[in-house]
Amino acid sequence: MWSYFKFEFKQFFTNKKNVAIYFLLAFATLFYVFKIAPTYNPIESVDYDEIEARYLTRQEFLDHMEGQDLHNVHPSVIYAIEIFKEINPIDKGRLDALDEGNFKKYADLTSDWYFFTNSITYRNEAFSYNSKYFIKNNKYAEDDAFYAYLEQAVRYDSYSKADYELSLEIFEQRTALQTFERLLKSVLPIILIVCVLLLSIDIVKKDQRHPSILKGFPISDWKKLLVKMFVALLGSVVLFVPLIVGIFIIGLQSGFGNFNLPSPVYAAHLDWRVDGKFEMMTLGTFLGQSFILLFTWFIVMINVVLLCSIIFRSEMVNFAVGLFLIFGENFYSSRYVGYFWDVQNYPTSYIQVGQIISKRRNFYYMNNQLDFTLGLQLLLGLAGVVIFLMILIALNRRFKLIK
Amino acid sequence: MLEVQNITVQFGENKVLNDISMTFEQGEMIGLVAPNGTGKSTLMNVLMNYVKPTKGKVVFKEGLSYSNKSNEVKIHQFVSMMPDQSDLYNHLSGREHLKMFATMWQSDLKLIDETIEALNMGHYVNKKTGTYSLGMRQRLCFAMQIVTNTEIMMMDEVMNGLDPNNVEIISKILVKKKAEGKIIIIASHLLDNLEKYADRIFLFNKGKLVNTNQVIEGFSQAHIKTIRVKNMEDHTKKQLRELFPNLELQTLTNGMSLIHLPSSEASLLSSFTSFLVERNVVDFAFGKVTLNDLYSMYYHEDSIGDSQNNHFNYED
Amino acid sequence: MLRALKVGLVIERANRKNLVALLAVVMIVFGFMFYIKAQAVGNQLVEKKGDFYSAQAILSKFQIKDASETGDGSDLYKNLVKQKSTIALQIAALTMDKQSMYYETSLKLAELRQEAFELEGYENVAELLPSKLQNSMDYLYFKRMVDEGKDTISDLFQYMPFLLFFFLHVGAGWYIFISFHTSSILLDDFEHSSIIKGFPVRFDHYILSKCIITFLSIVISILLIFICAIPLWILNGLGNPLEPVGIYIGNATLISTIQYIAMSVGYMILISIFVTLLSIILNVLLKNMYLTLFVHFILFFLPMIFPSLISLLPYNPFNFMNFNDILLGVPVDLAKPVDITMNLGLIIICISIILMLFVIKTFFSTGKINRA
Repeated sequence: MWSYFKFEFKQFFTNKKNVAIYFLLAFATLFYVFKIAPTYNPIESVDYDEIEARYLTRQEFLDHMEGQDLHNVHPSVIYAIEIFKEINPIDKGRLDALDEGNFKKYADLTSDWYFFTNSITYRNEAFSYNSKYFIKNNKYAEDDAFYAYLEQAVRYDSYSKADYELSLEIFEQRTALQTFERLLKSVLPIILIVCVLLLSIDIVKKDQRHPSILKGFPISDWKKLLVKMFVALLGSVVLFVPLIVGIFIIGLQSGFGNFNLPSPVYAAHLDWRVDGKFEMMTLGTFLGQSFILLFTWFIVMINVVLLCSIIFRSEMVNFAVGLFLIFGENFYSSRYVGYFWDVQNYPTSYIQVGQIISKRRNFYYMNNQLDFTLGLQLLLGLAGVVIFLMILIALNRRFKLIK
Repeated sequence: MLEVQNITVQFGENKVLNDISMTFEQGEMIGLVAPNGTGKSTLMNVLMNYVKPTKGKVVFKEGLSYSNKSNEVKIHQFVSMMPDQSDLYNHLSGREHLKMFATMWQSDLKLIDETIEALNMGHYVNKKTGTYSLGMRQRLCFAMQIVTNTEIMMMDEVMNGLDPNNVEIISKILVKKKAEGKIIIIASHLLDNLEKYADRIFLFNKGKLVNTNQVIEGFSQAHIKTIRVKNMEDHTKKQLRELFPNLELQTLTNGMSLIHLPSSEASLLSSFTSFLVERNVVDFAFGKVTLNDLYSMYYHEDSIGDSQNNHFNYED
Repeated sequence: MLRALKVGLVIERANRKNLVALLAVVMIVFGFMFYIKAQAVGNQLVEKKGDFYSAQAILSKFQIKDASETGDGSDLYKNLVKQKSTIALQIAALTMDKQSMYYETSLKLAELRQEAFELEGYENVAELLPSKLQNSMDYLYFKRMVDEGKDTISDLFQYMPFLLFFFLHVGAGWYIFISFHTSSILLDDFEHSSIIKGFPVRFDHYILSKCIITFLSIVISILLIFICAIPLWILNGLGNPLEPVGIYIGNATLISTIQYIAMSVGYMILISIFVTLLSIILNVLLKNMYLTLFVHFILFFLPMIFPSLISLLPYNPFNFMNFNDILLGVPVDLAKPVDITMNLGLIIICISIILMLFVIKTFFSTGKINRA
């Protein structure tokens, strides 16, 4: 079995397609690191000018209104005065903290600011969230902003109690680990799983061209399949090599961050007016859980490809099934639909790994049951079934791996 | 060591292998001779379990047979079939192919260099097989099988495309392997070569294996029992029948005339020789019926569609 | 040449890959239907509500979020406030199902926006509003609707509107789909080179016959699209084939649905030929199906990932492969605007095709057919 492993290993890593995939991923990583990451402009940034502009305008209004007769004034003006009297001290405090360079104080006050601003803005026509959420006709901008503001509130709260050194990069999530976190919550899991699909897509089919050499190998078919699976898994892990290089470079540019940084988790059960809507998880835990879920996806994808290979014997079918598994969610996903459907029971709902761990997906679907553990169970179960079927077929007397 | 028990392979109406039973012993070289499409490759495929027989089974040492997949793997440890040259990996070198096979069958890696030397492959074995000629590819496939060092080796048309020198080299290696106690089963059309080295030679007829000794008695023994004359003229044949009535004369379709002698008595031989020389017949040879002759005799009759019992075209 | 065609047809007819491709087309068409349902696309009400929040957000950018309207705000500010109330009216019209009022208010909105382009300070809010081009197309569309006294909104689940929606979005995917379909072209032949090499057919004729056969299967795929959507016709009716669609061909104009569909089909066929020829050249050079696919992807996605490339190489045929975007005038709205239209694209693609045919004829002799 070891000699067959060496054989498959060599074939896997000298396959032109696989080499091209690693190369393209490395190129994309470097491109991201040098071109895209520097232009990252978060909507929630530490913007001294913005705070100052808002503070000064409101302060001017307050000063203007000071001492005036408020009896015949429009109620919205009174409302404005009340609100501004609450917020402006916070903003002033933030500005002072930035001037002093006291990040802890800034974090503490900013957390309050977010919490308060959100409570007056959500579903309130008088105020509006940061306009950047409304670009490209985002129909759900309000909800996205609501999520973001409360998330930031919890983040800053955690920063204010942190025992590690704070920095602007940490606030804006530019550090290497935080960038990785952001990517895991967006497009990275899908890219990686697609890569895994492409890597393993022909791992069975490639043998069809050399039957008389391979048919006689004294090793059982099911063992061959297991070796192929293992080699493909190794290949998937190698995908992280260019990623790690990229993270390292970002670390050199903007700091590495550390594993104790906060990674807020949406908690639907909390009352947002009282406790906010998030619970805390460390970045380390987030990354760990993400990797576990991601790796489980790798196992599922590879085994599904293997099973399809031995049933359908066509790379196109492998590709179609793989794509269906990855993008199948789009067929039924839309906001809030999870309230009515049991989306948590479909394995395909767990493809956005980072969003599952941070429970953003739960917010998107309005569903409380999407969960890391449930996802893990579903995916492992799926993998188990697939592996079982595969070995069952391979053990069948009439089955031939290479026809 | 290798026992074929009542193997029948039927494709639709056609019985390609019809109730074949045979035993092969260690240290034997078996030749399979038959026209194309009569079942040579099918028999080998059955022995490798690439084709499942309709009836019957194959039994190996210690009673092992292809009853389940793990037995199949066990059997493939000591039974191998020569790979087809069209299946080689064009971007890998010959040596890499040999290493692949040696590692897979866990044989001694020294065997690789020994085989390369024995086959004179040293000057090209490190190049990519995509650059090889057909003969080089064929030799590589043979080398790959040798390197597996399995106890039973099956080769389908191993000498394809090889020049006479290479044929000799390979034959020598096969003889050596035979001496080591291996069972070697060769399907071939190089009848002279097969005749020289094989212990038993089988012809196929209607899905059955027919030992050449059954076709002509004492075929595999080296006796001077036959005189072979090429293109004997009719009047010479007439005179022969008059002068030597106790000799059987047989004319084959390839123009060869066979005169079967009842014994190898020296006087008989000398009188017959003078007879031929007097009539200016110079192209004749003593020996036995060759496999070539046998082949024409055996199969030409069948293709004409004559009576099944009479295989010989006697002239009387 | 005809013999090569006949032989090719025999080989390809039984090829499962073609069947898989046709199956994929069917699944995509039905997938689109599900997608429309799931994403509530074309649900005007939801979209307008989003517009309303956008309008609010824009206003908040202005100055104090909640200052009272004192009448000495800038012209732009007044315009934006009017826009916001017009949108509110739109929402009301939709809620009450009065389509004619909806069209009128939409026209008014488009007019307001047109005025806004000229007003001072527009750059600050530009990214939150539709572009000049988009607005022109909206304006033309709604003007036509009002002029014709339209009273209904097209239902995406009718035959014509659905086809329009499909063809409006298929642009990007079509190139990818055809790349997959043709990525293994000629590679099978390389496996059987000793058979093909000896054919008494000129190699370029042979390639041409392969192209024609591939082309046939593509035409069948396109026909399949129309056929698969027929159930919608039966269930919900034909819809209006003359429903106008805004496109950009140098300036914003309206064409009818059926014209747009015809144009799309034309472009799709042309792009298919382009991709097929490119696949042939790549396969001869790279001899690996996956590498060919990767090259296709890279060339196709490059102008999309780096829009600045479009201004650098305006005559790059790959700029035009996503014909939907070009027809919508997307390159005009880029950071570095490039005025390219599909008419230009048509010419460039045709030239590319001729160039590739020339390359194939001159450089590819039978000697090139060798195994990988």
